[in-house]
Amino acid sequence: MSVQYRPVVPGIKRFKILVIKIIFIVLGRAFQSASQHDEEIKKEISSWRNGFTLLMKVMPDGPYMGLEKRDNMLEFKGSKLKKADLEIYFRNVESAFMIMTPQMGSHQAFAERRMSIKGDLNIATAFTRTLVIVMSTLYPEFIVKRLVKRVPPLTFKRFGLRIWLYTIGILLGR
Amino acid sequence: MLPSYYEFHNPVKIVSGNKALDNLPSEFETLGAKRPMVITDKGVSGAGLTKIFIDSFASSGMTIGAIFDDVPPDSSSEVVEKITSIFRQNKCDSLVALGGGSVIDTAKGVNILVTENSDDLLEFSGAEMLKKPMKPLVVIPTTSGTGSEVTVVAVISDVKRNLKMAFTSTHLLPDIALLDPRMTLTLPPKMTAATAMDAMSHAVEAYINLQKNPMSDAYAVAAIELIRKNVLKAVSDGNNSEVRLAMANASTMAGIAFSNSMVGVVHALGHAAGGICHIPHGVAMNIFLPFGLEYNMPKCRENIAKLLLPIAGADVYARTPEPRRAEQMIHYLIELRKALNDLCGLPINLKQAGVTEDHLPEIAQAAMNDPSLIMNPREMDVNDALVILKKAFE
Amino acid sequence: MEEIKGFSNKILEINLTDKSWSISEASIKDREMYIGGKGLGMKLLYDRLKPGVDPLGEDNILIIMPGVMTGTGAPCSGRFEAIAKSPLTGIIATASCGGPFGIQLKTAGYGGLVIRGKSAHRCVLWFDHETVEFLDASDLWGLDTAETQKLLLASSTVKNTKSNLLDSVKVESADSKKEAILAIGPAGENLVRFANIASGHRFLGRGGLGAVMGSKNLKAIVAKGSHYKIVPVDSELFERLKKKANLFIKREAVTISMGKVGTATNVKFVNKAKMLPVWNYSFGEHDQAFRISGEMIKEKHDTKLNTCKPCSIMCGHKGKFNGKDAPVPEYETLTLLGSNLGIFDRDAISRFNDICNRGGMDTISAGGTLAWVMEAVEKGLVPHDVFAYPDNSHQVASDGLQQSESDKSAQYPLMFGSPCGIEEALESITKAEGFGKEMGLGSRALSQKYGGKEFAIQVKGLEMAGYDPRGSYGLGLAYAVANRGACHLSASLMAFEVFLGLLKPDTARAKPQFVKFVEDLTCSINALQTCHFTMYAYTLEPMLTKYTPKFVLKNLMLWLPEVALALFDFSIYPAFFSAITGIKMSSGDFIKAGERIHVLERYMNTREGIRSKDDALPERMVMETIIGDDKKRIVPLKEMLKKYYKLRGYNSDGIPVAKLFEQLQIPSEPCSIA
Repeated sequence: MSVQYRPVVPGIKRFKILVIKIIFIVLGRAFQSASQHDEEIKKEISSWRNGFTLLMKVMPDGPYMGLEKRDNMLEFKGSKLKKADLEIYFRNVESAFMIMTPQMGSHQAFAERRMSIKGDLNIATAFTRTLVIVMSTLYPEFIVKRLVKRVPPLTFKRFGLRIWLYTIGILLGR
Repeated sequence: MLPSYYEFHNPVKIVSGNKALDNLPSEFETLGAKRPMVITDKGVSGAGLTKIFIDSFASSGMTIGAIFDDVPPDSSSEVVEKITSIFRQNKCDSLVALGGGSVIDTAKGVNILVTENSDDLLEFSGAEMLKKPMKPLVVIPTTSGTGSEVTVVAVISDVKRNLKMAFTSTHLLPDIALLDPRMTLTLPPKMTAATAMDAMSHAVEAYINLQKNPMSDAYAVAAIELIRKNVLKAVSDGNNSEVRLAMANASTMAGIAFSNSMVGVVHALGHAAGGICHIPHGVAMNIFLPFGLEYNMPKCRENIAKLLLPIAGADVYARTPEPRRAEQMIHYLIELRKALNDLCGLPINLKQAGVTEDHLPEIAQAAMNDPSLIMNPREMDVNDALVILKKAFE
Repeated sequence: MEEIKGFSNKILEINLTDKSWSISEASIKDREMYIGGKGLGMKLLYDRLKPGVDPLGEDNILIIMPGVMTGTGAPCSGRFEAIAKSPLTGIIATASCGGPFGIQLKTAGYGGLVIRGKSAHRCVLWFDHETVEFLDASDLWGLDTAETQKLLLASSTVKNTKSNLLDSVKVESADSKKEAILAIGPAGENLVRFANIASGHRFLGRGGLGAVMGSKNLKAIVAKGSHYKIVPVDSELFERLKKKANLFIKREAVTISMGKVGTATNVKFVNKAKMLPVWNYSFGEHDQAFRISGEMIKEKHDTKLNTCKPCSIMCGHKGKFNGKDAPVPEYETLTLLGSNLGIFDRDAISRFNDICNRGGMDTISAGGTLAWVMEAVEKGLVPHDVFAYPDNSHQVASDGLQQSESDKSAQYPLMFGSPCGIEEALESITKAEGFGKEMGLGSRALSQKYGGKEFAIQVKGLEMAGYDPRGSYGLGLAYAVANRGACHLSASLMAFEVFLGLLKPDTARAKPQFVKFVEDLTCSINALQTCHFTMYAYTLEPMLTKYTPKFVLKNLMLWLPEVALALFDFSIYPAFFSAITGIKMSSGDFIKAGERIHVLERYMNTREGIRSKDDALPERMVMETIIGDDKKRIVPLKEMLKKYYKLRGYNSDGIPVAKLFEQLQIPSEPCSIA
């Protein structure tokens, strides 16, 4: 009796990809909205040139989340961008899922090489800082505490931003 | 405690020993190269090191494709392009970097252009932009500090576009790091001290920051111990080749450690101060290291405490009560700095290094965008940076 | 100005109990036999002090003696001696000092000052050539040595303001240059057992004589001298000798480097010989020792001369420390408050030195005691919080992160290698506060209470100086048998064994002979009262020793010590004596006087209970080797001690035998002077 060897096609992680896609949309809108309201994010992005594009990408081919700097804000580009000035890769779906759900902070993800960067490292450093701000605005402190080295103070303004994001910002991106 | 996950990568072959240079031709043969191009600077040539290098190729049947000995102290894209064209004209097939940090970075830059067959470095700047395996590169450090012989990084400035380009890629790792004490014998005392403290800062930061792992730890600890045992002798008795070889090894080990676990605030501040006030990198490292440790202490006290063993020795470690080890580690570091200051005048604060106080806010701001911060245990903001800078000022 | 030809045998006797004073006369015979300074002072004490008295009680007697050379203008003669029973050791303590007091004492016309009794009130003793005053010192009490002297010198015509010193006009008086002061600081007032006495910026350092003054409620002594001129009897010979002496000093390498660099030049020799005390004598060398070397201090601290007066060697220096002018710490301070505690920061050591100097206590004993405490805490013998200090070196940054709460309130013990808490500890000793009060009793008392005698680095209660005897066996013997305890100046064999390299250090051979010889010579020098360091210039520069090839001299010293000793020419010392006093003295007489002084001091100590068992080194020196020492050296004390006793003429229990008394013409019974 002869054994037949066939190529094995592994399945697709539909659920996790779906979750990542949803979170990318939420996060992207949140970025777009927060970049118009939060002073610190405004400061961070003010030095980037207009039209600067930024892409979060799960390897090898998506999902994607693109952002573009335009008129002093970050515009959410969805998955339209495929290449950008600064690209942040998630090494695989599992890693992206862990980081996005959020079970792991970005610095630990970098340390474990679950995320890597292509492009200007200085801007990447600034971007990770804005990511921390957006995350800590979106999530309550008991979650954020595990993710970041230092929780930014939840000022009254930022608490307002949190309510804004959940009511208007994420829906409309304003 | 082991990290839940880590990676460690160091494919560089280390060739270390007195007169290790004599084995270089056979190493090139193994690498399949026949016409290496030598990149070096005037200081190295002037000290007669290029001649020692050429002599080691005598009767080897190999030809040195070209020798470029005019690398400036800050590697620039112009020079990289110039060397690239010489490389192509002379049909070289491999590279030797004989020098300190800027020579090694320049060689890495040349390797990018000749491998990718391009004339614009900017295309490749950033992290992980290089895909092709590169030409054989042998690095012979003439300072014991930068660790560039075993790192994935190169920094080259583009003068025309006023940019500082950073390249990181595993392909940038040289094939061979060759450590021959003859190459560092002529290093003057102050440079010896500064580069040693550069290596020290690599090892110490590698040991305390977030990407530390058991492999990098082992290299870091070994490097610190070697530095402690040899640095004062290397500074006061430069002609001692045993001590020089130990320092070269320490520097390389520290390089391997930080290349795999990254650095932290000390380097962030050092890069910024170097960029704005042009303090030599080793000097900046020497100034900031204890303050960076003190700053990080609340987050990584245990790790700092463990470093008391390599930095002060087993007797001191055993006889220091456990709750005081972290403070003592910093204290011993400070004392070592003072000793070096006594021996050769290596500055121990920013004022001595010629920085004026009005530059501090600018340095703090510049440090904030340094990628070194990502792996630092404590999240530094501008105010913290300014606090550290003020402590380091006087 | 009136003249004193040669010497004055007038002894000023003070009784503090009833505030009376009188003048007695020392005999010419005693002058011939005991010379002056330490020698004559010893004889005066022998005749007056009953054995067994409480060193801090009314019955202890403090004697201050100028030397024969003092005041004559001879090179390196600005020195004087103090003698009393020590509260630290319970035996006789002698101390020598280069401050200005000696010359004023002598030019006031006195050959000695004897202080007995105890004042009911805190007082200052003031005297000039004709009168004595007892002044109230309640306003000076608590002031440090520098402030006390400054105020006393500033308050013009002290003797007219008996009621309140500080209310008097504080102008620089014309008399101030004619006045010199002995003063104690808070340490002496608080009876710290190793408190010292200041005169100018120099000190009667060892043995706790400051506490003796404190116990007598005597804050300071002011001598207004400059009334007499001291002239040598044979001034022509005297001038010739001066020239020769200065020439020797100028030529000899040891004295040259003392003048250039100071005593701290020893650091490099001692570190090289692996006998630098590090971590309470656990280690013998340190790779950062160069930082406390005299050469480094000279380079980094802009040093200038700051010497005894008059002086030709000029070992004292001052420099800029912590941004201020401060004396360059002496070798002993650099080692005992530096390397032995694991500290190599010169500015820190200078701060420690300043606290000791101002507070008025001996840096050697203070440092030795601190080192004992550090080791005792390490070993758990002393609870780690007996002396603890909070750590607040860490600045809070904007994220509010600091050391954890428990760390913040934690107290940290004194420990080797850390300067933290040392300044506080020294202050608490001078003020006798908390555990500082116990530390003020010295390391012997502490080790008796808490255990840990084996690492209490002291002999007879006196803490050891900064030379580990495991690197210099002769010094080991000298430490063990020195009359005042572990003293490096009783017979400075480390100079011959290590600095000069004339005597092989790690052998017992020839050491007893050399210890005896150098002890005797040192006693005579301290009686003549000139600087200890002249010994190198005066003995090594004369033709015979200078031109004997070094290897011959070395072998001679090792194998035929008696012959080598006969070669040593120290004739310039007795010549000075003869020229000044007009009394003939040969080299033989001179060394014999030294022997007499040494044996008398020993005898007085045996009356206080000193026996052979007390001539011991700390266990560390005879049982443990220095960590990392390849040669595994320990001091072969027993072997050397036996020979030494025999040479000295002591019995096996270390007591001088009757025959020796006859030989040396020491009266076996003191002539009691009540």
